[in-house]
Amino acid sequence: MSVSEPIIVFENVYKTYNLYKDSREQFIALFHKSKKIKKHQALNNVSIKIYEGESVGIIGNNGAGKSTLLKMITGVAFPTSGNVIVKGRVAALLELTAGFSEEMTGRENIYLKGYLLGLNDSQIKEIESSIIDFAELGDYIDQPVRTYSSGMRLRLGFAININTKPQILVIDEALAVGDATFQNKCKNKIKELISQNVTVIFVSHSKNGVKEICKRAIYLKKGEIIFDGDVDEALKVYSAK
Amino acid sequence: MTSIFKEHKNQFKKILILAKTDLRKTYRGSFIGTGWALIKPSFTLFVYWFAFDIGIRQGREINGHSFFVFILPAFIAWFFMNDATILGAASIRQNSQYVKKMAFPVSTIITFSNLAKLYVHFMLTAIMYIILLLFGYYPNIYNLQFFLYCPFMFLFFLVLTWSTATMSAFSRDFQNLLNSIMTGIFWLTGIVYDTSAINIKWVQVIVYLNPFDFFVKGYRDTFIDNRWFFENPTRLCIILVEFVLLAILGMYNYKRLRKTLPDVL
Repeated sequence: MSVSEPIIVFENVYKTYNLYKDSREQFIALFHKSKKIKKHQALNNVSIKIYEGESVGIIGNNGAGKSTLLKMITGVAFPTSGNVIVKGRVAALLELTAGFSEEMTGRENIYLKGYLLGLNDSQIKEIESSIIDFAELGDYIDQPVRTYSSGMRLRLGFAININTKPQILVIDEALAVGDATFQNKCKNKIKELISQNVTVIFVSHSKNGVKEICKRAIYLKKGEIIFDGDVDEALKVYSAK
Repeated sequence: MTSIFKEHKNQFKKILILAKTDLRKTYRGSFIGTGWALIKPSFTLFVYWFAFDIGIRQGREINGHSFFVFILPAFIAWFFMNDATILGAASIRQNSQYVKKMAFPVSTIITFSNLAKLYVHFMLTAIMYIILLLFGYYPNIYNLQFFLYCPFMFLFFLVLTWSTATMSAFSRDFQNLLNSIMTGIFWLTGIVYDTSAINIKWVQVIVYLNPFDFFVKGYRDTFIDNRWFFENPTRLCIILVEFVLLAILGMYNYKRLRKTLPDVL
């Protein structure tokens, strides 16, 4: 493990979702805080420290709070109480095609998405060609995205996200991009990034997948951390439940 | 209090690009394209002119103007205010992918969405100016007030949208409520009639409190009535107070609801 400061810190994080009975209750909630609203506790006093260069697997059943955790790391969701500190650029391989504009060409979308991810012109120009190469879109790169197949969109999305030189990479294993050849290419790219000291957060149901990539794993159950440590032991606890 | 301003730091370029994208999205894939931005208001204007001037008023002048000239600047201001209110309120919900799927300065959605409407407004204003020239309303110093009224109108509806867009994103009912109210506001605003001609005290109070009427009147003063914005200091004070109150309310609502938006959208 690294000796440097942690790159991701969760301090006593709680996340509660309000479950509004109907749209009437939601409308009233705009003006008046009712105590009757049902709540769902998605994360319950979660504290984690993740250091630079670590690759950490998040395991747990559906509804364990994995997605909520990821959303907080990517800066989409916010804790109800507690602190989440994330240092460095996060590339999330979760919603690859989010932010694309259908009417713009693939190339224009590289810029659009680049801006959305917080890059500036020169930074995007620098990575433009490697994105186009990686996505294998050929002449389609100057066609509007609405003409793309879903595979092409995902490839472009993946290529953009992975090439933005992230410090933290968030991967949901449920994600499958393109054909087997392209999937291998993605896997290799991810491994390449890991060797370059990029921090990886990997969510998976499959034990082999986690073992392949991670040394450390966090086992979540009903919003609480059951185990945090060596990946083999974590998987043991996970299957023993 | 500062979160909206912080979110806009160094985002200028992104906001401009997204405003452009927003415009393209609105008029995409149709043969006439951006032309619709002109056709729709032209048609609305024609219908009101026909109903009132030909129909109800039968060609009488109003305050020394032909009816068409009287409603033209008012409608140009109204189109922007109406779009900024209704579409601005829908902006966060419409761009929910930015809220739900990436870390994004959500308040800039409101800005780029309203900027896109402002672009259309510039086009319409330019066309209006040409039409007024044809009607014999030649350029004069009062016209320069456009550069005060227009930015102020933009800012006024921007801070209003801080509240309405976040609340509409939180509850669809709020959005529907707003849409219904806007129809009423159209008729309460002096667009097809002159509110200052009504000599009833309580009506005047309502008129003075109605920001829509302020801008409609402002556009008229600027382009056809040749009056300065400071000629009615009471109104000016009221609108400035309203602006400050709305800005504070907007910052409060945004701060209160921002973090819950990814959960409810």
